Amino acid sequence: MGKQLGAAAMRSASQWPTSQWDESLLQHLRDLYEPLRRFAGVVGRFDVEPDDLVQEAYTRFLSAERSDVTDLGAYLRRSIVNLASNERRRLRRASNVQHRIDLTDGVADHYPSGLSDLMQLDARDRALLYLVDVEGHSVGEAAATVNLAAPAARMALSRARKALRTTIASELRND
Amino acid sequence: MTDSFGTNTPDEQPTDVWSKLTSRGERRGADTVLNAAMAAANIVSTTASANGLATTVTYDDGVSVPVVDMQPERRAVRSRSRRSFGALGLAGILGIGGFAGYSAMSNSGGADSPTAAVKELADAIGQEDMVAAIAIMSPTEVRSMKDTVDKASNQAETAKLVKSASQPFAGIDLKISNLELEATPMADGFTKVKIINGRVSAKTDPSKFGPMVRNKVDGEGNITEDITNWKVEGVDPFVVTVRRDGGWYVSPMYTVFEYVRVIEGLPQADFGSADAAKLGADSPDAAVTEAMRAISANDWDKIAALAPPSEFPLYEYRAAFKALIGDRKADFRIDDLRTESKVNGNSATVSITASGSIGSLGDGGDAWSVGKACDDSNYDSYNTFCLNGGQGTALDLLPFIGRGDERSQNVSPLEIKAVKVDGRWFVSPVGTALDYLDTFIKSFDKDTLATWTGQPLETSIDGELKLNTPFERTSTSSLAADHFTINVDGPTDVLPRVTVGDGEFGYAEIFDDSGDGITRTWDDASGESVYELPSAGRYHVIVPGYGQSRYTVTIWEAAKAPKLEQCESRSNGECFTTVETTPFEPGTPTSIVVEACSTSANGNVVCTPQTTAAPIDETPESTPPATIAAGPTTSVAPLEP
Repeated sequence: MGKQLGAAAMRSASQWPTSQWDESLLQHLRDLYEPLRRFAGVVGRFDVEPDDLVQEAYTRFLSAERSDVTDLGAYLRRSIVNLASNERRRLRRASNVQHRIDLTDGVADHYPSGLSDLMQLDARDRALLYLVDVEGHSVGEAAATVNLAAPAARMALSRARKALRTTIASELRND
Repeated sequence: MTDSFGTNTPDEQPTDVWSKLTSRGERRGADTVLNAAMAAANIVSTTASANGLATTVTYDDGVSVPVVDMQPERRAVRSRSRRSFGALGLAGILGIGGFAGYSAMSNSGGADSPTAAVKELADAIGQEDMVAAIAIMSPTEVRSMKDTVDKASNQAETAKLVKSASQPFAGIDLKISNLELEATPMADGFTKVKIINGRVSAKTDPSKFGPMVRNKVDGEGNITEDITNWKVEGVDPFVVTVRRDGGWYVSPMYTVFEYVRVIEGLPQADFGSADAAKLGADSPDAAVTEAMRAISANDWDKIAALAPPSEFPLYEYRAAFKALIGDRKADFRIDDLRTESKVNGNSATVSITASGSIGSLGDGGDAWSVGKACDDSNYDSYNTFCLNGGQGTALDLLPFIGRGDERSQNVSPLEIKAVKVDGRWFVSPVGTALDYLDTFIKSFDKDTLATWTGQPLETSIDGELKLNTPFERTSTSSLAADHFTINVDGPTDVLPRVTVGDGEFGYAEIFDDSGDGITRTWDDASGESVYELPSAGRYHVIVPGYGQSRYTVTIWEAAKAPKLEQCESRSNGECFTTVETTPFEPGTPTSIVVEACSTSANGNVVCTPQTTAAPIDETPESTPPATIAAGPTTSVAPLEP
């Protein structure tokens, strides 16, 4: 990504093929930035920048030239969940065989207080909790966003809420 | 503008926990992020130059742009050096020092002066001579290291960490030069030696490393560092030297304590005040028991008096210790405490079984226990502190010290080392740590090294699996992975399942014969990974060590894998799950359907829906609601293996 950013910097604005994408689409993507950034902050690993996840999701959408996407917000959220899940699986696989020694660049998880239980959850589970409990979507909508069957999403939500009962429940009661 | 979800606006106030996540990170802004994404999306191809230092990026409009990495050579060297010195670090952890056959640790009699002691240490390091380095360290602080070092040297050669235990640092060339020191007496027999000038250089030649380490390191490394840059929190580098029986030695412990004191701005130490004959306890059991009760009572003077003065100068630094603690209180109660000691001369091993509470239980408080089975019924209390197991598993638990290892079926007391000095008994933190290190070293075999260095296919093969056939195994270690092979007759999609102990889901990775990972896809419905074995042949299945727990690994053909039982809770052998029948509205009672499922004798899963109008309870408790109208019964036949 660093190389690509460097390459981008070497082109002037007039060299962009701006006709490739509609300005209305680009504006829609700009408008989605804030909610997507919040969402990425929830589902990504704590050492992954939310903006990086959003940027990668944008890149993949723009590269794929999908014309069949009717709900861009949901599509991009799903993309972010998949990116975050892939990253977590990759790191977990690495840490499973290398996690106790500092020979490698293994990642140590250090979270602010109150977040360690939340961050132990899978990216999908965090996404479900956030979509349902914070943004107020139905389980079905949230399931579609994270590309889970509704029963699996319910089970995942149930497990995640049980896991966080002590931390999140008290926070929600105090709202 | 709101998005398609329609509810998310910048004015929303999520809870504090969520807000920490939603607002984290560096914000680059919508335009920056979108522009970068557009640029990346326009790239059609990238071509690396022959030397790998530049890339040509081609856009879809035909424009090609060269991209050059900044300072690639230095970065590459650092990377190799880091790995090389990682190997040095590992050797250091194991305390390697050419001690094969070395049976008696004797000190050098010390140096003539504080600065001479530090120079002797520097010379020893420069010659990679651990014997000489330890000989110039305070004998009362390192005397218990002898056995550990002996074991480490032999084990390192066995594990192929080094080629020969007699030459543990072969391949590493250290040099300390231009050393200038300044001695400042702190008290009679205690002198601080500041390093006001000096340079450390290190070169590695991986061809001389042990084979396991050599595989992970490429190329030679070369690093040079100015020692005066090694400040800690702005404090210039120094070591503390002590005089013992007329000779001067470098003291690791006093050095550490003094660093903490200086960095934290704490009161001066009372050097020479620790008279062992007037401190400590009457017996090893009393030493451990009184230490635990002193923590519970916040009696920091008592705790300091129970540390062996010559090994761990907490008593002399008691004023600094108490200042560091400040007003903090250990809200810690002991409900049960039992000890049993085995004495061997001037040392003893004290086994502890204990439990109690921290804070107020039921109100965010914690239960704690050591040497007892972890209480799974308290699983909801995620702060439970449970150290389960003796030295065989204690080290496994250190990274998980907040939870203990419920999967471990090995329950045994915690063991603490006590030492006798001048007729009095003290709790020995160094001795305890070295005992655990001994156990760790004993377990550190070739398989452990292969696992830790990311070469799991180098571990011993523990069995051959067959498709769709469960394989039971009792894991012997948490440090080394278990390694299986499996042969398939052609391209096959497989789904590995590992069940540990009481039904907890484990984890497995699959590699081909060359060690490459296999493409896998995520199955959303089941939440599992399906591996696409591309051709006939042998594959390798790697399962992480589960610490002396029994587990079952099955490599299913994906189409034949039985559905996982979707069960949120159990009661009296029955499985319950919830199915929502109306959309969930926060704070509004929602109708839910509870299904009670059980497995019949013929293997069919039978579920009976039950309904309730009670407000939604996200997770049903183990006992389901009593008044339920039974609905139609469904049954699911198990898939044939």
